[in-house]
Amino acid sequence: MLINSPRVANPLCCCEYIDKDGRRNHILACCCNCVELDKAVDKICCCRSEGHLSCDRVLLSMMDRLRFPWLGGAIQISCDILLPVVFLPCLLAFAALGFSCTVIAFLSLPLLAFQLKQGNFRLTQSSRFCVAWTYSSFALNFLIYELLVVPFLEISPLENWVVILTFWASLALLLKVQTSRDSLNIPGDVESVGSNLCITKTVTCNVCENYILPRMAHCAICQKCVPGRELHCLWFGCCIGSHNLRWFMICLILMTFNLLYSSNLILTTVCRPYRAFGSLLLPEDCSEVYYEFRFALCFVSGLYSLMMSVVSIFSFLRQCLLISLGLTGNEWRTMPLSHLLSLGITAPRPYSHGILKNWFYFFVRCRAQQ
Amino acid sequence: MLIVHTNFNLCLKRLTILFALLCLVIFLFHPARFAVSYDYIETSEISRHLETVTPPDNITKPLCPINFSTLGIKTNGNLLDLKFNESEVKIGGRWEPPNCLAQHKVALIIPYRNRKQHLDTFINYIHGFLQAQFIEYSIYVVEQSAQQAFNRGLLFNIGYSWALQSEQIPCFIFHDVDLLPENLGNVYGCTSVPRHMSCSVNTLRYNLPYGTLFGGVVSMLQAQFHMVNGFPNRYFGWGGEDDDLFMRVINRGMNVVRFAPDISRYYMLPHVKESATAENVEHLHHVTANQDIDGLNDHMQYVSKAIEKPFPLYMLITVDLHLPEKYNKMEYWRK
Repeated sequence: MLINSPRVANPLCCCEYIDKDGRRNHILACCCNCVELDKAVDKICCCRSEGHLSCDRVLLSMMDRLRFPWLGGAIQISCDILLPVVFLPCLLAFAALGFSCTVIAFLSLPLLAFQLKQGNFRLTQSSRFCVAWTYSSFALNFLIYELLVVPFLEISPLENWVVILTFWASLALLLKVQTSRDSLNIPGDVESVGSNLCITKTVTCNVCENYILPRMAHCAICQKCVPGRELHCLWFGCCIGSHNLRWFMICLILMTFNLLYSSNLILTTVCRPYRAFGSLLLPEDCSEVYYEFRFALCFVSGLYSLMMSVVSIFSFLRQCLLISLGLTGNEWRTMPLSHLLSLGITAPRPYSHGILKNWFYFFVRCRAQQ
Repeated sequence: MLIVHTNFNLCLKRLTILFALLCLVIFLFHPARFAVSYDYIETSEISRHLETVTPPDNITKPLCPINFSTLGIKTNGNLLDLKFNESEVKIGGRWEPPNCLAQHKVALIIPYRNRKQHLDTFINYIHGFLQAQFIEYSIYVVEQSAQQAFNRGLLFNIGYSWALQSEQIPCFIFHDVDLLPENLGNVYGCTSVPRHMSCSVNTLRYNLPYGTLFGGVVSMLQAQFHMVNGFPNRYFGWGGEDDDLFMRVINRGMNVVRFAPDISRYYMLPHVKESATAENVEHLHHVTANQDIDGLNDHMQYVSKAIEKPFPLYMLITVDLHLPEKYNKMEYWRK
């Protein structure tokens, strides 16, 4: 009874929490009284051989005790969220040590991203790790811009307005993409919509065995069928389908603009700029940045934003191509190689109405119901 | 009772969040964190503000034209591609327009040490620039010997009095050796008020970091420079003397003007940025108290030896400094 309503009976202070065994615990006691660790040490001392299980228990206990003080009780910090928050600043600080360090750090980033995509890491949930990575990259770049670059007094207030507005707008859009739900989640719903659209042939998904509409596809990570599925974006941590494709595209544009603009501001501040085409400033000579750590850190952050913007431009252009073709990402991936080589032009495209109409439908209504 | 308590808590929580947000917004948009926009003389008004030389009665030559348009001039990157005839320049770096009477007569004072490459680039560029503007000029490069920390303000004072000894010059331009003007509209003459000429430098993203910045390139009439008692002499090492000069100008009831940002563009030759020394920051607290005792009137007691050496394109004055008795403490000699 007490455990069920701890707030009313005796509210938790900001450093207290209810641990995984349902007991009241304090952050300061995080290194005390760990039954799991005691047992594990006991086992090692007595040379008993059930090490694997107890090791996992110790880890679980550690993760349970990793908490942050908050109003109404300390909140748990999940390991896969904490990791990018710690790792990313370390990576940038390492890259700022010198030119060779920058090269090593930035070459290792795509490798790491590829490994994540393949799911090679034994993190509890690699998808949450990726989302945390995206957010912490954005936050870190923004912090470096506001706390290290702006104090050089070389940014004008208007430029700062643009950066701040596009930053918060793209974050809001990112949240919108993640939280927008497709209306066709329940099987009964699919049937009713199907009958409304006079679809006679009903198909079931061969994974989840629900009724699905044409162009719906099952996502293994989200564990459900997504209408007009394009891809599961690891960095956004959600599936992109017809329900959020438009938000996704707007978000990509804004993000790209924000990243390119802030990286240009950062690089022209720490490097020697030159005027191209009248008054557009571009960085020219960045050879002096490594003399001081602060300059180098800004420079590296500018490069990192530039790198992220390249990734988001690439996915934006890819999506543009798919919309023009009238294909979904899912259909694109299941195409044979011969069609891929011709950029999908020769592929059979039953839902395409020509480029202009495809774009019209993209703006006006959902593609799944075309 | 409990409900009131919860409501109060909720209210407090919201207020805290609101307060935090307010602080964040104030921090993000606080104007002191950014480059400033400043008042400037409109380009069409410039000629009205310029102090020109009054032509003597017995001279028949026409007045030189004032055509400061960059149109039709080739550019080399962000800089102008200007040529000049070296044989026309008198030894010691003096020149006057051969066919007309210059409306501006100026002396450029350039403090210098140990940056030969910068000096060569600067001298080769500035001759073409000044001749394109039909300005009668002489160039004084004041070099400090290698014993003490660099003292920019003192070198300006030495160069000023040296130039005045040899000729009558109404207008002085105090110029850094690493700054090249990008726009011919930036007239190398004096205005009726001291002028900050380099308010749009490429390494500062062509922005002005703060409104009281008065470094880089500054033009002042001889009378004005005399009135503010010149630059301070006690700023050894980098930084501070320009801010001091700004306060000196304000203390004497004058203001500072600037030209439009696109006209005042400068290109800075590459070198490593430095930060101001702690002593110089300390000196800035005592500008008003020191204005009459430290400056143009007592700068000669710092000079132990000064040698003039005319070069084809500039006059080089090499000075050895020594500290007067009253400042003879070790910290001033730190290099």
